[in-house]
Amino acid sequence: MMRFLPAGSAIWLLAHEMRMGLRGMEQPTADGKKAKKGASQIVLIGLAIFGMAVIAIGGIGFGFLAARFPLPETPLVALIVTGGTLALFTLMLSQAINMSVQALFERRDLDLLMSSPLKPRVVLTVRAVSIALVTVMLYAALATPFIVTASVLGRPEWLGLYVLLLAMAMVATTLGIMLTLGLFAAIGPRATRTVAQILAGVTGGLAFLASQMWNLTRPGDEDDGPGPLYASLRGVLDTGLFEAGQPLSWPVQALTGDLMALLVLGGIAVAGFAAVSIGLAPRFAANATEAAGGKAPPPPRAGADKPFAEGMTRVMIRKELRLLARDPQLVSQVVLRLIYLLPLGFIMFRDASSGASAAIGGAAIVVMAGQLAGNFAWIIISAEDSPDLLGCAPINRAAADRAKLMAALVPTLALTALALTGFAFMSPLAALIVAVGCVCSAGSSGLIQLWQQRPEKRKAFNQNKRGSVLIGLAEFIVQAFWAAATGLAIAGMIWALLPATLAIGTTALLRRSDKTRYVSQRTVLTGN
Amino acid sequence: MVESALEVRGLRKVFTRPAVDNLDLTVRAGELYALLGPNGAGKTTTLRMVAGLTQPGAGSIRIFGVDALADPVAAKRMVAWLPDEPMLYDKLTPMEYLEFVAGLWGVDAKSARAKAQELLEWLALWEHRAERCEGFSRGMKQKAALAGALIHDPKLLMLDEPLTGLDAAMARQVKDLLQARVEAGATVILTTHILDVAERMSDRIGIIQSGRLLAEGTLDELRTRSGREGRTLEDVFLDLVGTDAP
Repeated sequence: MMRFLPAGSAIWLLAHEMRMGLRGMEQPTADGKKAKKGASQIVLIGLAIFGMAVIAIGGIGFGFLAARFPLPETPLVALIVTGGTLALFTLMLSQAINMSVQALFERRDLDLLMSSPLKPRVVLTVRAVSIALVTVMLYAALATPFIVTASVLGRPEWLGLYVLLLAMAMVATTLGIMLTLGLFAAIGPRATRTVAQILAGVTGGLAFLASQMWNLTRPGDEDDGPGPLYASLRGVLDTGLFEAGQPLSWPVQALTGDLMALLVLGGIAVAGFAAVSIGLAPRFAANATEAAGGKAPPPPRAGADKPFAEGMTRVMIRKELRLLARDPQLVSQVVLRLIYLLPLGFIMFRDASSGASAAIGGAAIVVMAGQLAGNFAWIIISAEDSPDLLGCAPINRAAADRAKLMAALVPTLALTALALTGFAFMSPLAALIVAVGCVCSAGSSGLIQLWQQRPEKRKAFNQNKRGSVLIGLAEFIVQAFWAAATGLAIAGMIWALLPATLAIGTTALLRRSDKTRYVSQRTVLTGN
Repeated sequence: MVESALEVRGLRKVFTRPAVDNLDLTVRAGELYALLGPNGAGKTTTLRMVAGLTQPGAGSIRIFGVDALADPVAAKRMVAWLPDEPMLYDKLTPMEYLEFVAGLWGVDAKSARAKAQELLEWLALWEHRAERCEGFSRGMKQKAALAGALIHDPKLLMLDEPLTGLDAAMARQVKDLLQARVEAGATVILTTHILDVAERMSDRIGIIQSGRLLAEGTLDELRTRSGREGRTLEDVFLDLVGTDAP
């Protein structure tokens, strides 16, 4: 498409940025080539088609409903719509922060762009527009079956949802860029990457935690009344902030055909967006030059003169732990992926005396251990930074991989021990059972990663592209089996043996012999 | 009879097209052998197969008499491979990197520590031993990787474009080091596009193109073969491979 646009123009640059943004979503491999199509790809494509069909049918169904039952402009509906908008906005903000960091630090073309005759303002504006467009694309696509159906059936005001989504994406992008540049100025490039990505993870997790607020705050006993969340929502409604005409009701007004509300929301988004593009362009140019030009080396490390470790296993474990410890960004990404387990933890501690809570909480810790082990094992085994060094070393690869698996289990068990300690205060016996479940779950996940390893780049983890989706799914199923076994064991049920057997069986099914996996690895690395 | 450091027979590797095609190569022990060829000639693929990183489609590789395909671990103990992109870990310091490499090659920890200090001092990296490699220039990274290649005293040292990215002083230092290794009895195979380096440093030169050995011998032998007595290696090289510049 780019060849049809005037070279060097803003629109031409935007087409380039969009291309890069969309390519950034592709699955990278260690050699930078696209993954080959295989059985797993076909299954994934099948799943994707199924997912799209479900979304389309669901969207069309809701479209029929929306056409038949117009959205009432009551304070309660305004509260629900604004709340939903905010939840969606946190997801967009999370994505926008990640993409802003990527735009400033990960892409290596800033030197090229900033040394070209293009003005920094144009570069920043185009980059910001592309972030907003890539951010809105997914949500707009998901909403299209609904919007089109409702509009065709006589509710064209739902077309305003596109404007609302775009406005939200623009505001998210504006905030994302401001945050990234602000952090850059305050704490420098190195820490900005880590902090911004942690913020992105937390922001994304907030939407999930918000969706669980009802469960988290409801009283354990129904006789205790409707609970504090209900009471506080009632209080918010009573303040009149969601009455028609109030700013907090603008989202619902925008969706019910109020052109003024739509224009105001769109106008705020465009004005903020323009202000950031123009106002922060010089700062962006300076930061970009600094980020691309040269990173300040980290300070020298103490203890450089201590004795060397002896033997391959020790040096391997030491090296892997050092690499993990020096990549807080990566470790924070691993831990942030556990955010969805937090509600289970809250429930567990809220109803500590209940046996069911102990079983649920114990199961959550077992899943957490498995997730941590799977993620650390992927980082350490599949995302080895220097596979050629290991390839040309006179070592037994299987022994080296076992050492790597041990290294992956060290941070896993350390983090799991924290949760287990809290659990042990509530129920020491159950904590013992959970500890066994954690070891089994972590071991299974680690072994699956070891057997199914495929060389990939470590930075793929930060882009949520950790290996095969099918392997990830299989890993999660095994963790769920171990969690079920642990929960049933805590409840004192012999049925615990059934999911435990299934976990062992599923893990064993995923085993690949040393010969098979090293030949397949070599194939990936050499392209043959 | 001079022992062979490397004997390659009928070596073949096909990617989308043959990268190495029935290659025979003999490198004598204690010599510095320059493997030259235009881009895509198969130099790196050949050396990667010797290093055990790429599985050959056919052929045999013997390193100091050891069958590298049948007993790769024994063969790898004697070999060091230094690609043009250094095999480093950015978040490790040079000392930590050398500790790791020494561990992989099973070098005794105490002697590895002493050897690491000696190498880093010699390569002017000792002052930077506590800094992470991520802050290093390309030349410094190349030096750290070179130290890693030497920490286990390899009998056969293979270097792919070892002078890329080095300044003149550092390039001289590396060339001196390679000569010193050869004088100490090691065998060195290097690929380079800098033909002056090959001309001045190497005992013998092999020229490959399209995965096949076009010519091999001392510079004088190559001159005789191309009928270009008294000319530079560049003239001879261009004569043999055609117009493809190195």
